[in-house]
Amino acid sequence: MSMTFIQHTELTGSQNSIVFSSIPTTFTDLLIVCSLRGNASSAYNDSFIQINGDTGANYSARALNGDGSSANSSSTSGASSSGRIGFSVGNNATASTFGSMQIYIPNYRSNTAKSIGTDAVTENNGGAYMNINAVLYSGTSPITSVSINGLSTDFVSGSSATLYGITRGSTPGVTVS
Amino acid sequence: MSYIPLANITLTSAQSSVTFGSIPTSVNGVALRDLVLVVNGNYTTADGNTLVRLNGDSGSNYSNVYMAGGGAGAGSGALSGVWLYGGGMNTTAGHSQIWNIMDYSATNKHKTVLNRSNEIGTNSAVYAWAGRWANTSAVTSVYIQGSSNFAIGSSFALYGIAG
Repeated sequence: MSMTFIQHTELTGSQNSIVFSSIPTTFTDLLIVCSLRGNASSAYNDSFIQINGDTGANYSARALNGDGSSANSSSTSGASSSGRIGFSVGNNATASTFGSMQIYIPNYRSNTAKSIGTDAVTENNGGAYMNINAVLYSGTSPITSVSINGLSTDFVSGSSATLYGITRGSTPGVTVS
Repeated sequence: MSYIPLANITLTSAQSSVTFGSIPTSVNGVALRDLVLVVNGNYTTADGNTLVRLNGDSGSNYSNVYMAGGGAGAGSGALSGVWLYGGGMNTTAGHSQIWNIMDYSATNKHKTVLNRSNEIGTNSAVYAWAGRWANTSAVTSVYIQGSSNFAIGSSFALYGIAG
């Protein structure tokens, strides 16, 4: 099986970030599945990704958002200390609701810039939000740690993230050229 | 969910297309339900969409719908014709795409395909495409073509999902 569980973290109290560190170098891609709720005083809570602890202006992002009645797009370019990866629910959302998010990072051990794709959805008892996000991290070092953070807000107890490693390979008889 | 690696290639020279062939419907007795194609790379020259054909079918048997966000605005549209469409790539490194080909081994339904693309650089945008191949055959080959050549180092990995 090429999809391997690495680590799961579930918060037991409020915390600004969930960090995976000392990520093994035995895989080709990383997949992170998150269930997040922040303490922002709104129905939604922005979430961000930071690679290898890099707080430099090395993150660019594009987002496409839909709330059921309209769609819009937003961006950050090259001046961000972390990459926006989408909404989780905020403190004003219906109790016990959490946003769901999937983050895919191909070729995390490469020596080139890293492309990060995320899909996120929240549901707030009648009001829902979904967004897809593209993040470019311009750092060229292999990824050894990933932080999922709320920037200026915390994630609340029950928020969780699970890290998987994906390994590419081959099956006899299948061709590629 | 079990990802079974089927084939992969990392380009050592620029080339215009990549073809996966002889795709099985099971591996070691385990039936495969869906295909996942992960692309990470860039083009050598022009910016533009990535295109896919299934089983070498060059007929006008494909329909597509998309939504895209470029930062300043959001858009949606539809295309039909001789290709399945994915989002864009350009010449700077660091673009990724994930293609999901649903129920590819079925022989009683048209095939639906989802593409999620992440392009940052010239004409940056995030994309989601949905396509349909109007054919009930099981998918045995996937041909992917760039708007210009895929650059050295671009990688393509195909997985089957057991189901």
